[in-house]
Amino acid sequence: MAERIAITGVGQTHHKSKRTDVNTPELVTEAVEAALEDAQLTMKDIDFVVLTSFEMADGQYLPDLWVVPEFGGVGKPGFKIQNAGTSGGVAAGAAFSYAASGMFKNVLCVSWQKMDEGKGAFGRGGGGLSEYWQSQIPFSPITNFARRAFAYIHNSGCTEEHFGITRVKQDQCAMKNPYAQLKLGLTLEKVMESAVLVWPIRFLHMCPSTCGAGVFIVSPEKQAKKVTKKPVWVEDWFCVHVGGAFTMAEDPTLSTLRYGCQTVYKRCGITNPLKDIQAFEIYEPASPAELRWMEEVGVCEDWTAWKLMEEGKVGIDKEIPFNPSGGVTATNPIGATPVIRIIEAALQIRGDAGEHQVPHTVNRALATGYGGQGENVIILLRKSY
Amino acid sequence: MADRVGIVAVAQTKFDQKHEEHLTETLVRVTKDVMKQTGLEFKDDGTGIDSTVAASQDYFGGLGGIHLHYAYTVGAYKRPDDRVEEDGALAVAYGAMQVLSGHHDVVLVIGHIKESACSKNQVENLGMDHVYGRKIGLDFVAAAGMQAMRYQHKYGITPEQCAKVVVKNRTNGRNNPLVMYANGITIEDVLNSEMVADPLRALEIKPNPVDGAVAMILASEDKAKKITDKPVWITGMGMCYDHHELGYRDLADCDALVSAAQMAYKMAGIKDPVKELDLAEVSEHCAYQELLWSEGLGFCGKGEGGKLIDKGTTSMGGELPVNPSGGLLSGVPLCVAGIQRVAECVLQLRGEAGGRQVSGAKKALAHGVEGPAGQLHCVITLEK
Amino acid sequence: MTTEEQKQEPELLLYQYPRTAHYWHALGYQSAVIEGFKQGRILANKCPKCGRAMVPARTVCPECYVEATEWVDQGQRGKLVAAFKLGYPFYDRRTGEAKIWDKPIVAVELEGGARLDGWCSETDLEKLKPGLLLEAVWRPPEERIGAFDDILHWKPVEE
Repeated sequence: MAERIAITGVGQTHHKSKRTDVNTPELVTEAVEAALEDAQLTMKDIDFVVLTSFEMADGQYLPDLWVVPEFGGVGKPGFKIQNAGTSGGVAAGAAFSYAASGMFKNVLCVSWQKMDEGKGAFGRGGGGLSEYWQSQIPFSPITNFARRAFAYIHNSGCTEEHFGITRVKQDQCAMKNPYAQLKLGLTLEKVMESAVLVWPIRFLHMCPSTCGAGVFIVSPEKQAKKVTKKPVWVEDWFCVHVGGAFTMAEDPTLSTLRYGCQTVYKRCGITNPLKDIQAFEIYEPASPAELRWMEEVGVCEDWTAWKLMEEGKVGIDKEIPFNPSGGVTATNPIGATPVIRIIEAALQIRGDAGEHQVPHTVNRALATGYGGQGENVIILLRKSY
Repeated sequence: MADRVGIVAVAQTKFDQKHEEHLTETLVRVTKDVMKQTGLEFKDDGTGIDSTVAASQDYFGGLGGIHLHYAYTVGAYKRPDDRVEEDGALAVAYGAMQVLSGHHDVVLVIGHIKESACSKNQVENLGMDHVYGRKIGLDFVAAAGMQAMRYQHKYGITPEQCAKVVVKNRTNGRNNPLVMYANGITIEDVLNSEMVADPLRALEIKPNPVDGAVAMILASEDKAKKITDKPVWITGMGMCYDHHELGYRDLADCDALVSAAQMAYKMAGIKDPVKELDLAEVSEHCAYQELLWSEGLGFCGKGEGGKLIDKGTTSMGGELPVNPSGGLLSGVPLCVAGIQRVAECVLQLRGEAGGRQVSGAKKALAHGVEGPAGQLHCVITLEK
Repeated sequence: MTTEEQKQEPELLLYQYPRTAHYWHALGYQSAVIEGFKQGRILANKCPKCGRAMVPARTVCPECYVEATEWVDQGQRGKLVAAFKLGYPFYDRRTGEAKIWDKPIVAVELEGGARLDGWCSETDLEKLKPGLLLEAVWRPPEERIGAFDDILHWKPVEE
């Protein structure tokens, strides 16, 4: 039976580029313990576990088998999801499904990535061109976002400086987030001086590789109200995949974000995203993407986001509360990132985000996950019904 | 909202040593098969198939995220394509849960793999932990060898009893046109075959490589009854994790399977599995596992797996036939195994199992396993 | 050593796998495209329902879920869609070494409607604007192996 579900506890590690002091199961246990502490529960109360990580980037096969015993998961039912970039979002959706069935009381969603261990082992091209063609053209997240940025510049009339302005804004938000990895104190000059990877993408525009884990606990209504006074309700979720159908080689503006958001908005009765949603935590793997995602999510008109960024209208305490946590450009443990977006959105609703808390009441928050060639998972959270 | 989940159509490819066609063509073929059986198409408005759950393995596809290459062939274009990267039975359980949660009504569950693409034991070695497991060259077959040795020592299971499992399953497999091996074998063949991982001999281990794909459509109760007049209901689901380090548990026991089975039986209201079930399709990657999993599933007491096969309870015509389809020993790929177990149960309960039909079958059990020496088990019970 | 002392001196385990992984993949629909490249033609398969042309070939049309078995020659000219230039080394499969490429990579929309990636002879990114007309320059027939770089590069058409 479909029940209302709410997130009752969240936990994440302090994200760093190298964690040589722990191995993968220990890293995950840090986040699990943080989430259990947040919800004031123990592993005895957990009755289902959904795990995910982008295992090929770590060079490990079926890592959930290795990780589960470390945090006390022996004897628990569970399984693992793996969808490359959108793993965390799909796993969150799986945890939501298990909780919404009403058959389980506390479902744990565990996600992690330990990128200092693999060497991007089997390549993360982003898929779509089939095995034969994949290695012939340089096909990686960096070139994909270069294509997006090229299309953005030519369609909107902005310059590459605007990507730099975006990066500075992202960094200013990340400086206030104790968990974010890159807190660099950037200025526009520093960004424009950094090496060009693939024009117009510079080194500082791209997300880093991170070791981190994100965990949350989700429960059906009755249990959620027992566990916490500040449940974060999950109103809706939608996984929109594309998977090889069309690639950015064919369409540099390819994205399912607008379609996914509009479907969710229609289902939930949202007509004006900027008015109806008070915090956005969107997965943007590179600074130029943030501008385009703002338009696709619907907070501004097409090809105008760069003007708003230039005028300083985007930020924690500004008109458009977009990625107050610093976003993915500051922290990107691939398998865990969508879950961390959800965690940050949940913290905004609860009012627990500390220095990067948006200063108004957040009734609804939107979190997304991104992967492949423009796949998205859209999750809508709310404070109360 | 759904009270029950029904399986309304299944399709399987022939399982072969090497499928020459490209993965996308195989997937289109099985997907179109189930679409034709039900008359459903992929739709966004709730009148067709809403979502896809897939079971596949990146390492066997050779790319970081093979779903990024094929998802459109299973209808996941602007639609969900959730991937469970473990045994297919877990994907069936998740697909059923998507329906039970009310989030989707009709779900396509598809499992596929090409074991011929690369070396299985090289991949499985990467599944062991860094410090101990990988260095000694452990893979799942070697781990099974250790479990077999412990199991045989503790309970006095003999190599002949394990060989009987192989003979039984390969004989059953002769009636299944889809599995790889169509010839039966004798106990002498098994006991004379090459020793691979002491005490496991070559013919006691699931053949490798085998390629294949299986698809099925799950639907909520109301829709299932409209789509077909022979839906098969999922009545119970259970799964459980065990320790990863082989030394942390007594390998002769399978506590995780006992837990998983109890979870499924509780949901289904089954108290005496041998009496209430009409058949069981278990995942026996090696011959001794059928005996060990039978104990965990409650078909006999602890340590009595050998007696069970000697009595003939699990043969065709016995009280509870196990693996009438020929089991994994007749040639079924890993990962697809779990979902193929469920598909075979569905065919049996619909009376469409041809030469391997168990007559009058009403309740069945499917089992999937993942990990070294059975670390993660999944049990699904079905009924007509 | 206490646990605290141990954590301050992290021990790293280096794994070197002396074996390489070999993968066998079937070609499927790509064989027709590969043969086309060897003959100096760009072939794409077309959906019979919506008419969308796709290269590399797709088994079914993703929008319509119908098998796309009609092959259409896409012509030799196209319009530029997007361009980028690598600032880091990329592996050249013909010589077997990683090198810095000075030619940018362009996505081209072909006459038949499909879009394809390739290299471009114009190295100045300022001149590469969307809509620029480009023409394929092929390698000599004996050098074609059925890969994207059988088209040596795309050249802007001088009108």
